[in-house]
Amino acid sequence: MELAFQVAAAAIIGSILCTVLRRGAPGYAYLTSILLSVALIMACARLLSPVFTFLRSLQTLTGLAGALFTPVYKIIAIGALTQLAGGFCQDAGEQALARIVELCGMVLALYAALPLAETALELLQTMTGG
Amino acid sequence: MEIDLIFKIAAVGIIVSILNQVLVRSGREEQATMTTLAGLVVVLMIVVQRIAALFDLVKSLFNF
Repeated sequence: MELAFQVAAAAIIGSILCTVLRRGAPGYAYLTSILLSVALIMACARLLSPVFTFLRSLQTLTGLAGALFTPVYKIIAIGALTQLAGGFCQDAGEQALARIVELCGMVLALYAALPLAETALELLQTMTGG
Repeated sequence: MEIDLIFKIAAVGIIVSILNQVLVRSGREEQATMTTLAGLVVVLMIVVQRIAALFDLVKSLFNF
């Protein structure tokens, strides 16, 4: 709970700092906002570790192979990173670059999902005897 | 949390901005540009290091 207050306070203070810096040094305002975003994500991402441990225990309960779930985790990570990078590009005024980053994220996610799709196709073929 | 680093970079930005203004007003525009660029490169190196640390954390979290 304390972390929530710290994140909110840090974000508000960071926005005020960026407003002050933007007048005299806009490049520094942008770099400050990137650094603050990265620091906040790193502070909260550490709390995801027990969540992932719980997900892996659920995974073992299903009895399915771990390799089936790896593409799902990869796609989640690709989506989060793409959104982050796209947001930074939009902040810098580079709309086209943000769109390209999103497009690349989509392509990478499709590529990461390929093993899962191939496994599903093989299973269908086995079931239909084809 | 790394809030101290944020304040340091904001302080660097303000100092460089003031230096920039002083150098421009005294007619040394090339030095003003060089100072701004040098400060930006220093801050960029710090940001790149933190982004690399973030990507390492994401890799270890998602077990890549």
